[in-house]
Amino acid sequence: MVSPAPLTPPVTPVLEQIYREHFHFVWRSLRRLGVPEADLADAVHDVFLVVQKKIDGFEGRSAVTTWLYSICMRLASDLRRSSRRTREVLGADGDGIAGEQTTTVCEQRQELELLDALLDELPLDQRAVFTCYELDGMSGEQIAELLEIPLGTVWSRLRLARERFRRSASRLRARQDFRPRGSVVTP
Amino acid sequence: MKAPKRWIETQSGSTALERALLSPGLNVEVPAGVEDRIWASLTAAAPVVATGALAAHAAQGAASKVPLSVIAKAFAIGAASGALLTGGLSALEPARIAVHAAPAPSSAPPSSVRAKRPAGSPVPSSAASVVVEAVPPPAEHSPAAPARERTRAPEQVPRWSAVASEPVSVAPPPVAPPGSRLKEEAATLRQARAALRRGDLPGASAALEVARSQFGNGALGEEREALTIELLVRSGQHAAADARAAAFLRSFPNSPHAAHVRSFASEPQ
Repeated sequence: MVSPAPLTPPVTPVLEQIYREHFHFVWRSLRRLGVPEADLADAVHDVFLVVQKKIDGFEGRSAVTTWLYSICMRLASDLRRSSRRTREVLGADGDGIAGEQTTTVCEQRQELELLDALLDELPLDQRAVFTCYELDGMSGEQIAELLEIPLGTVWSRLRLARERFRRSASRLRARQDFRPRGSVVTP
Repeated sequence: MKAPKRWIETQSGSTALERALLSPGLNVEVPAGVEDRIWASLTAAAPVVATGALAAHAAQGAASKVPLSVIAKAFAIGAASGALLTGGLSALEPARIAVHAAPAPSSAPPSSVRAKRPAGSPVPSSAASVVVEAVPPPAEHSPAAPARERTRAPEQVPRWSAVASEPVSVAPPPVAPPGSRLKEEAATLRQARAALRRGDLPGASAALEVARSQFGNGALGEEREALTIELLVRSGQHAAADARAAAFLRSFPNSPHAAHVRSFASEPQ
């Protein structure tokens, strides 16, 4: 059953250790960065494929998690671009939740998907800070280390993300009488 | 700048709507078995190198100078998945509890632990006050792996979905995952880290004790020891932390955690 493709890097104990230690981190990070539930397994697979290929070149100058997170960011960014294109092809409003789409989203999706839709409106770097801080309970310092950015940048991205999230939430409320716990009632 | 209150908290300036929108996102579930299936698809396509120069080199490269706090941070994130969701909100109220990391009563052998701290009672100061309860392994419903067709450019290695969509391969891979023991050990340490990150020192102590009793000679011993030293520092037992750190550095001078342990040991906090 083993069918090594040419150039396929070997599986080393180190790879397995990284995988076992950080699988949950990668899964969660990708989800936080907007990879849809249905694509998560493939995306996690892809992240560790990159790890597998580049492990020899990783010099340990940054933390493993920082490295993994940067791979997650790139992958999420690619997926985001391709799903944007799909949305455009489908004729959805590029400015995020709008019109018909909102109704559909609110009536048919779960709460989580609604949150995703709001987070999708944030630029990816803001989304990263926002989700790490608001959902994962990380400290500003931890986020700065993870993303390798100054602490001041963490706070400014958080502020921008909050403003944007708030605008989106208000717009949602203006359009619909949103009721927590999943029920959205149109006026 | 002072860290702002998190929006999920009341009186943080967030609206009820914003809190309601955010709260479903606190949990990220990982379907049971998916970790092993993805691993199987990674290993199915590649030769396995057991040990040797490459592994040693990779170990050196991949792990050197990895700050433990960052690894721990990873688990602070990961910890909220599955059965251990308590992290998200608990992290908002770091406990300042003195806790002895001395061996706790080893009457707590479950492989998965969660420390429960009575809300608002930052009193317990001994490991004996840590309530350890068994948490069953994630038993969420595990739907058959989604056999989705992907439209992205084909990889040279079979993608997870491709493997999963093969009728025969939907079942667990014929080769048992070699790292199930390692996986359990990593999970226990993940709990310890997560507890440490959210300030749940008794929880961290309990999880580390389980790691010690269950995986005494485990592959992640260095990491366990490094976490123990961090726990000692954070619980104010600097003398014990220093002694342990010195022993650690003698035993594992080239450990990827060495630099971090060193920094801990010299931290006056």
